[in-house]
Amino acid sequence: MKVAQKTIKFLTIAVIAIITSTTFASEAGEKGQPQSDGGQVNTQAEVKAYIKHHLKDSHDFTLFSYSTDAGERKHFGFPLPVILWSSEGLVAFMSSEFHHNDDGHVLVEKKGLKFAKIHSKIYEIEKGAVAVSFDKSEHATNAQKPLDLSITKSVVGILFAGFLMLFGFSRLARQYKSREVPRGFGRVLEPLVIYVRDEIARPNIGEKKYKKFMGFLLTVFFFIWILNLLGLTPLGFNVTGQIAVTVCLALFTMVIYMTNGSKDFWAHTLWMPGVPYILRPVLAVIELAGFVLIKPFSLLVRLFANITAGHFVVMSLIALMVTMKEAFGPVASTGMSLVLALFIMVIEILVAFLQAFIFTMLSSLFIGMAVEEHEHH
Amino acid sequence: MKEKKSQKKPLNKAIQLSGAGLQMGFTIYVGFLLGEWLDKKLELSFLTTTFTLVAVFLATYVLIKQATRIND
Repeated sequence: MKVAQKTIKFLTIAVIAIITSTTFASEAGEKGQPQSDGGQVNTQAEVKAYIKHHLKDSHDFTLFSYSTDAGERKHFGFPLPVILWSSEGLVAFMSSEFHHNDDGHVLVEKKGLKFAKIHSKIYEIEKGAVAVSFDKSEHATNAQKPLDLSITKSVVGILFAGFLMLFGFSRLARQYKSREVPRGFGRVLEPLVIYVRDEIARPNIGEKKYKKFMGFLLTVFFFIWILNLLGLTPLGFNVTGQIAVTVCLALFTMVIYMTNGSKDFWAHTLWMPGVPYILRPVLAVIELAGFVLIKPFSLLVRLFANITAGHFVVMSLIALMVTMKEAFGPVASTGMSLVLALFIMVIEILVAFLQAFIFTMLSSLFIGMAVEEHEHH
Repeated sequence: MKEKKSQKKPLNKAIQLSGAGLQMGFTIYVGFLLGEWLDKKLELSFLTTTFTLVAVFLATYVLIKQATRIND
């Protein structure tokens, strides 16, 4: 029975990995830079540009694109709303009005203002200008960025993860009213919740105080995990690879442990006992910098870098079939890219969990350090 | 269960030091910046090196302090 379960588990993972990597492959192989040539990726430079484009947030979903027999480029996906706070106030339109252009040559006129999309960022063009002018380093000279409140791809991802969690966990919670052991998907979620409680929160924060922080820790854990896994689907999410998202998560942790610091914690941080008096103010600065800057920084960079690197490596390996085609022929290069991408993809599934685990683990550890009360005083 | 916990503790506690390298680097860099700034201000030349060195010792001291606290 156990063997069968394991085999099924392995097969499921393998199938998921194959499906996602091949779908990704078709995306990488056929789509590409949406900005200029209609999205074909054939050279090393185009592969790089495509990966760079993917790692950033985007204003629309492009699942894939293909060329018709007439040579026309068709994009398959859906637009997202663009919401801007411009010099004339709120402006909103659908991102499809840019027609997949990403180099500032398609202008959208709203409220007498012209907007252009350049490298996934929306610019407002100065009044009187009819086109975006660029300087030597390809920066727009007559346009500036308005405050962008758009529902971008990452925002959709965040909302989707939030909805999934709200749905899954409220159902799980409601089940406990009528039965001891949850049924359905709740049976999968319950051990995970207990795992976070017993392996992460309890040993690090302590038996007395862990309950207060369970809400935060569970939310962060599942939020990061779901979004990491979403990043491995062919939908092309890269939410936890956006540094703005990880900064926010780390800030939450920082605010929580700073506001819950016990008397002992502050005494230890600001006036460390057992140290010569002359060193204490200096140590206070170092310790405070550690808690305010360095600990959140290491948290946010670890998550951001791991996910970004993961996406980069998977996409580069998939792109092998394009870049190695000349050297090894189409069959060998595709086979090689399939095997390598599959291998890394399986590792990425592990990393998706690992990063969520480490973030939660370190958050609870920092909280534990802050709420700790010493008995030997 | 209790045995399991006591086995787990050391690992958990050691994770506290996961940012130690960053903290040392930060401390040393701040010491360097302070020394450089003072050098310019007071028109001296040896303070940059002095402060950087002092910061290196301080960073090591803090690290040892943290490590012994974990050991308790």
